[in-house]
Amino acid sequence: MERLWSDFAKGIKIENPVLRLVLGMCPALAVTTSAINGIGMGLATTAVLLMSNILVSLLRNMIPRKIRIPSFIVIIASFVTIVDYTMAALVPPIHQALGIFIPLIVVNCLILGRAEAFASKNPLVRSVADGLGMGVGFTLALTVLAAFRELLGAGTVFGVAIMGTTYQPAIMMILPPGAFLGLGFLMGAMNWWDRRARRAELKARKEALTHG
Amino acid sequence: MEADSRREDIHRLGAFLMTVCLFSALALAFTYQVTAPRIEENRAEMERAALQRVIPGAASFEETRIDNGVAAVENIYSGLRDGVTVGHAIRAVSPGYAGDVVVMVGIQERAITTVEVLEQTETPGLGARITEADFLDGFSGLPADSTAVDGVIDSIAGATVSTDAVVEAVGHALKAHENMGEER
Repeated sequence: MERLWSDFAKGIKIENPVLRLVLGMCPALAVTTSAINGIGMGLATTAVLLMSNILVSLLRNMIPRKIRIPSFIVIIASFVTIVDYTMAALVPPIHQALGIFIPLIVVNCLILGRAEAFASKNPLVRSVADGLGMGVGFTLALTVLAAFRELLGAGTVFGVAIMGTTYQPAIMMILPPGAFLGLGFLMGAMNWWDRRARRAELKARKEALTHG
Repeated sequence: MEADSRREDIHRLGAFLMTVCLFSALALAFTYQVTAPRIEENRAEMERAALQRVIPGAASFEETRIDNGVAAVENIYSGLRDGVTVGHAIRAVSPGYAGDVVVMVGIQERAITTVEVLEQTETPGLGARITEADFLDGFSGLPADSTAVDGVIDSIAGATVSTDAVVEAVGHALKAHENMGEER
């Protein structure tokens, strides 16, 4: 149980796909212009990631090593198309807003990366936990980055005006350079948080030593 | 000896990959069968809703087949109420920054009622703002002359190409409307 939890939780912080593994940069940079797009893209990717992890894990002993990559790509591309059709049928507005980026999930290295590095080597339940954790981590990172860019670039978050009418939006933040700036700030914040936590842990251990 | 086993290997691997593709094709065909009617329904519903918005007074719509001489105009619809034409809706297209921008222009009593963007793949947050009411409201009430939109619409900051695409598409629609002339 504890191992399952760590399979899930690692995707959120210590192995966050966007901020730590630096995978899936294309959608992370391209669609994060508004918070709702970030969430929509994150959830669509999570659905594909979860389904591909399940199937790859189930078939892991059947797929010959030599052709595992083409097999994975066929599986992933099929699921992406299924998600694409399903979204067009059930949630047309979100499907329209994400447009071209749904088919592009096929080339998201996060999904192929998890199939290759985790699902093809681990049993079903652990692969599900890994897929969910990575998906949640990806969605969180995209949403935070998108909300940050939307706030500075348009003065809104989820379409709700936050900055007041006197705020002059820094349009650059929703242009491509803003994606790199935002991602840089977010990674910096993540490193700072990580290092502080590690220092606190070190200090606590030292104190325990001297007092004990 | 080694060549033999390698050939065998290729056959085995090829067969496996074919099986994977076969199952994938089956899954896709099934999904398509299930979702296609809903997707088509959504599209028709969106088009009807757009027609209703651009010709508010109409009770039914009918596609008119009149040669209007403008290649960028795809369809022209007449809005009918009690058998009388109350307005026209013209679907026109113009290349934007990232693909075609498709608009529907409503014309009633020699003036533009509203402009709707039906399809676009512009940059989210920038060019995609051509779908916002703040921008599209600028067209409402302009006279239905082919030159009416020249230079009167303010560009969206950072999205000049997308703005121009909408203005051009509306211009095409107005031109087609003029060409229809007496046949209306």
